[in-house]
Amino acid sequence: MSELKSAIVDTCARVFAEMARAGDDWNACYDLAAQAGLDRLLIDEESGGIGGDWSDAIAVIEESGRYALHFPIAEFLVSSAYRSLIDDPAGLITFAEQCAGRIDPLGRFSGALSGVAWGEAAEVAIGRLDGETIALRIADGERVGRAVNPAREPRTRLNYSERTAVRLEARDPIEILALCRAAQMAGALAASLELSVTYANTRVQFGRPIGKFQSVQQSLAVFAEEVTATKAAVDGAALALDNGNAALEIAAAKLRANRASRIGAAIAHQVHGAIGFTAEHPLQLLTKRLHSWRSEFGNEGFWAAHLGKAFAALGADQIWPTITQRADRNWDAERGEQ
Amino acid sequence: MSGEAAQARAPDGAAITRLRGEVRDFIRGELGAPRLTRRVNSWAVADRDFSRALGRSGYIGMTWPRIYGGGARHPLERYVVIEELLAAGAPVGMHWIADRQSGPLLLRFGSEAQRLSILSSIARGETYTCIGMSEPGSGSDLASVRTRAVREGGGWRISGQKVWTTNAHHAQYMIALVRTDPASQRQEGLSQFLIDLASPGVTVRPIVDLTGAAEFNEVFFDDVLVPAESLVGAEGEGWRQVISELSLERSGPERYLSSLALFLEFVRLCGAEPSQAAAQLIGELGADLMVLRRMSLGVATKLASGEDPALDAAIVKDLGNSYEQHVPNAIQALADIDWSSDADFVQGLALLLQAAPSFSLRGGTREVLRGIIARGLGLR
Repeated sequence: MSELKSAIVDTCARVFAEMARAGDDWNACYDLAAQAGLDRLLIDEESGGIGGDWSDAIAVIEESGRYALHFPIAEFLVSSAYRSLIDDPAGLITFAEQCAGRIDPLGRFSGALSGVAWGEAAEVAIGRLDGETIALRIADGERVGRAVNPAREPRTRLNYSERTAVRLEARDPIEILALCRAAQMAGALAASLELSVTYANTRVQFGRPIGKFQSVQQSLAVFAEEVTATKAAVDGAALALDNGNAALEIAAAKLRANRASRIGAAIAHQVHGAIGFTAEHPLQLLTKRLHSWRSEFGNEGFWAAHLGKAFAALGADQIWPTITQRADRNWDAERGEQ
Repeated sequence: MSGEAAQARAPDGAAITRLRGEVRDFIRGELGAPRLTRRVNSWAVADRDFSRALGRSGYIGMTWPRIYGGGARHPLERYVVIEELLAAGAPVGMHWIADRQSGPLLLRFGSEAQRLSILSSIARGETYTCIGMSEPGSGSDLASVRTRAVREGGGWRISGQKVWTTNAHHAQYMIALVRTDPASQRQEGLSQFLIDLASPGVTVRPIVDLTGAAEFNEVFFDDVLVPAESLVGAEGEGWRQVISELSLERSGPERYLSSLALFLEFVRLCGAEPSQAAAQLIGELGADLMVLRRMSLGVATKLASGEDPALDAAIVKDLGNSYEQHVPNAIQALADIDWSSDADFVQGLALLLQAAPSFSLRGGTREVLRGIIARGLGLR
């Protein structure tokens, strides 16, 4: 990690710790995030931003995953890349996982948005419809119920009837949010592993810390492997995003994070025993998010099929050359300082 | 060695792209399109002619200083060359251990005479080595080795037995870990020797493995007399010398690429529009391939800058081995296999299914690696 990036991440870590203490106080969390300039990280310096790249942004989002925040921090940070395209709304911009319907010749959308993160709190939702990125005002839609994911993060469903949709010349937000979730999962996995190792070293049974038992050690080693692989996948996808097309790398990252979450969350709970199953223990805040995020913006089946079709279309003889050529785009950025 | 290698300029992305092109051209020219059974697990496939051709092109001993016949190239250039060779399923088994392990060990700990005597011949692809570690009573618990060397005259008398010694039947030399202090316990009192396998008293006996191949051997030392200058490095430092090279051995592309050729043939069989189940398997295996490659290259990058990422290296090996074992098993679950067929794909799958159990045994078992990871986590 570059010095600049680690300085940004360190600063954000302090902000996230404060946000975690603020709990579900929306206004306090929003103010902390705004004061820290998280919504300016992806904005150019000429436009008053911090001038960070995707690699910086994803590293910050990964860090946020460690704190089990009750706030859409990834959406808050990433939407800044879309803000100038949408007449600069004052409120929060969020994203819809699914967008079904049609846009008539007058540019009006009829259909439904689902999986809208924190829809109640946002002003605009961005979605993907038939290969186009579109923005809709939340107030134009009719809220159909109000739901939360297992981590109690609000997920809204909205129906629209002939309401103005703004077409955006912008990156596919589904890919970006999939990478954000993978990054959040990488952070939550790392924090779960740390909790588990600490617990294994302090909980004494049969006269010694349970971490001295080989079976527990082997489980935690598997967990550590999953955490390391997820982080590598997320870092690689963020670098690819800075280079332009990152479709394959993001698919691999979300797929890897999903699988790691299944394996890691199970080991974390097994190691913690009954205390980890209580509402007061912090582990459940992390594992509930892991379970929730695993389904959001593409499960294993979705990304595996997506990636598999892409590889099949390339053909057997082009798979290795493509993987190496795409990774080599980052060669100088990653190894330039040597 | 790391000090000398660090003098080589780090290649930039353009140089890496050129190098990949050169290696791919070389492989195509030398090998054409070999059968799948030759391309899977290809670092266990020995081919003297191919090793010599590689040596002539400067692809062995790439990072070693020129005075020893090396190419004075950067370690990441070597990394790219070997990952291209393994991805193509090139038969690199004959010189593999000499290039990866014995050469670097001699550069780091060997005497000038030892370096001058064999390094340039290794780099030409003409001299091969094997590593004498395991013994009948000493597998994962390597510190229990009992083969001993006793001072005699001006040299040493070596007696004992090594086992599971890959390539001993091809190699001219073994670098053996033996006990030089009979009163010592465990990791202490061990030393490394460079032993000429043509010495009187050395017997190499092949062991046929379950695939029918004989890649590993028993090696007997019946009072073998070796000169004093056979000692590699310092007497009694053998354990530390062995340990210092493990990250290099554990994180390389050979730890996840052994089944790549089968995966690619599976993609070919499925065609441009695979079924949903096949697409999902291709995507899953392809994602792991991308991520493992990134992890392995990440360790190589750290090694090249002088770090010793032992924990990361153990993680790459364990995940990589699990992956290369998973590939044939997952493909078998989906592909329609007719054992009465002599099709290349069927025979390649058959070979990998049989060879795969060895992947998480060779070079450190899964259990040993996970123990190392647990120690890195602060659990031991």
